[in-house]
Amino acid sequence: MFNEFARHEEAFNLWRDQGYPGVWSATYEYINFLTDPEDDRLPREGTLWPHQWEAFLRVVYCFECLGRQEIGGDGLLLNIVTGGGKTAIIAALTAWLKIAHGVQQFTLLCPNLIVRDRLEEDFEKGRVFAARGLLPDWSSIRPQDFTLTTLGSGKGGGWASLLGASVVLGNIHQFYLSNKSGRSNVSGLMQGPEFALFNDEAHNSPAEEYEATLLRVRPRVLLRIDTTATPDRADGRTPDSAMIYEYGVADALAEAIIKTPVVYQPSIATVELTYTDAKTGEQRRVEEIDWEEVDRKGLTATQWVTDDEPMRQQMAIALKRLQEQESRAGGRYQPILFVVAVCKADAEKAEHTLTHFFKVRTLLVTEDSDEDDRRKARELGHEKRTKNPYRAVVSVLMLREGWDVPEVGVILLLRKFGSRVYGQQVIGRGLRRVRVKGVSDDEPQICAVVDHPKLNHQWLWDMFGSKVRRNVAIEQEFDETDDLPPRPSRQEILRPQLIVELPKEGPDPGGGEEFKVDPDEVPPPIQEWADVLEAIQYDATSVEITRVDIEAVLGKELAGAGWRTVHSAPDLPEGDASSFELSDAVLREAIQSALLSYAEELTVQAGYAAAFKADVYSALTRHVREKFMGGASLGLAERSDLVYALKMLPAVRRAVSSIPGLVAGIVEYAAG
Amino acid sequence: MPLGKKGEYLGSGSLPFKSPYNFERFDSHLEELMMIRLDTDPHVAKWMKRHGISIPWIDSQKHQRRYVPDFIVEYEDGEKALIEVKDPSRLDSDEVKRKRKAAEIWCKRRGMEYVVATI
Repeated sequence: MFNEFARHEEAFNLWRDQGYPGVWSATYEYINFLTDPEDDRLPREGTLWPHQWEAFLRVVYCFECLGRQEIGGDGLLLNIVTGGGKTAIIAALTAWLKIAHGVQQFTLLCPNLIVRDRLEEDFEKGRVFAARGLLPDWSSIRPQDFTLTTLGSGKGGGWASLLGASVVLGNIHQFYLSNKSGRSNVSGLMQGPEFALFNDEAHNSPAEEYEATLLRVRPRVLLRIDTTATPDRADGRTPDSAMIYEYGVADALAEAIIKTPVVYQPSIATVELTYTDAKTGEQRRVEEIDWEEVDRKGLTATQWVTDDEPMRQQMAIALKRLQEQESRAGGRYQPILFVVAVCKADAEKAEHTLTHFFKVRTLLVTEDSDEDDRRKARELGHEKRTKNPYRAVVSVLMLREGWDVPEVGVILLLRKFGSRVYGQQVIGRGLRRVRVKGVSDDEPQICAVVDHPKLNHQWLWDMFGSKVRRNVAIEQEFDETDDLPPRPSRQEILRPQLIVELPKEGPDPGGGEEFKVDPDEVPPPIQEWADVLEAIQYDATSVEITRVDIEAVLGKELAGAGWRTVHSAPDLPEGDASSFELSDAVLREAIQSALLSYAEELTVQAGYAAAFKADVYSALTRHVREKFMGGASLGLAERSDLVYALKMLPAVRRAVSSIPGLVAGIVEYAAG
Repeated sequence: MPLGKKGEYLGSGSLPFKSPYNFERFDSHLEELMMIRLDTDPHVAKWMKRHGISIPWIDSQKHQRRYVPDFIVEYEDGEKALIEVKDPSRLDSDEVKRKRKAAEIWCKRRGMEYVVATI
């Protein structure tokens, strides 16, 4: 996203140098209150951090000096890195608008419950205003004057409370026009006073209903501020607001605002693959091959982190990192291992392995988790004082944005990221610095990420400028001082007159040619798709990674008995191998969600919008029932058939996508 | 040529440094050479490597992707361009061609030029 403030940069700097000419007098007083008495370029200690101060001043300048016609008619966007403290900026702007402009109502929109819970904690009883000292005595406004109403929390929300509330916090769904309470909430807002709108995690807003809501309330919105760390979405869309400030990963690293990410990848020499009959479970053959050759064996990238043995290996590496983090923390806080899985089945397996095999107290949070588990996830960091704190948390997508527990010190990836946005969001969970008693602001802090070379994440580590440690052996330990890459330098604008402004977008010169695909490339849809699908034959062999040998000879036995070679992951104790079984319900759900995601992927690959996936999903589901479950539905199939089907799903995807025109045939002709 | 060289360009000292930043980051030796060339070229008034522009394009799998061009440049006469530095020994794959096409149209809509430059 282009920084629209670029053309105002020079004038803005002049405005700061000259002492903010042209602002309202109460604004001037408030800026003065927030300014360091010793140095008028800096914020007063204990209030905002320098970049938050910069963001705050840019908003003030846009609102009071430039005006909505000039910039931000649809809102102003602050692009602030995760861990960069967006909430304090929102709070300072809220205080300023109330003090200088007499704004009575503030609406905080958020995309999901996790974000809502966090904002609720910050704004309840005006906590953030008190903590950051944002209210001057002369204003006679106190923290508790910001009465908070959280919609849909069951704590006396509802539209009637909107009338008396000062700060209204709501999940965006509570303002959707498609449901009755949404319409009622919007009408409550529209009948109240003009308000300021804070749209947190704003990259979610380019969605039809989200946009409709923003458009609907626009006439009552005095000022809209969007905040996000990832304005450029994976699907190419961006919020419609004007970006006026960018404070990215490199900036935050340079100023030690966030932790330094360090990546650990295992070293692997040979791999043992076991081929089993997916239907009977009978073992067919075992093969040991070189690491270099393994790609030809049709393994999926995630098998390198989710098959039993490699998963244990990755976990052992991650737990070593956790131990290191714990020794760095020295009892001042409890570092947390955050395990990121791609589906519920993997998440449950990971939780089971951590709890029962590694004996690490672990919390599992999925989209089905209730309020109590969400609360536990939120408060993980406060657990230090309990006798037996959680040391790990496993999650699917639930803990992606908005979940901020600074104690997350190790991230274990059991999934591959295809998009910049998700990758950034997940790593962002570990970047917030721990700020507790006894931890100084300049103490070096790292976030250890345990990755696997087969996941091909180098592009992500480049984005973060992370140091990557390759060939890490299970028992290997690293010293804190080795771990830290040098801090990058801070890039700053010194000569604003040299900023190149981006010209405004004109009309489309050629009718969206960039999205045009040569029609010759598209195979014709197969009308007899059902017969073709039926004719596919499967070989019931599934491959599993059963042993991975670590190349290096490293690690020293604690007993001092000398050096030993560390091979592969810790073995399971005798008789324990089959102790973990997924429940039938989880198996069904895993099949269903895999089929859904395949359907979407195949539909899009075939050149259709994802919305056409329903027919493809039905066809795939029928296909899987007939081929692997004796025609029974997911709900009625035998457990053994469910296990069989789950193992065969990757083969289904490969087979279906390899027949040109098959998916197109389903989309074109299924309904007929 | 060492293509993987990363670093910070601070201007060459004898030439005017035409970027607004205190330094610009380069990800390859070619990019560093282009920075020197932009500073040397009397027709170039300003340039930026850190510019925040990312152009949406669709790959052959029909996936929406984003492409970040190397430089935005403003010439003495006020004309503007995006410049992509290209290693002459590398051939453009189909994906690269799609990306370039998207960038050309993106530039055309803004009255800018899209230049693929070899050094």
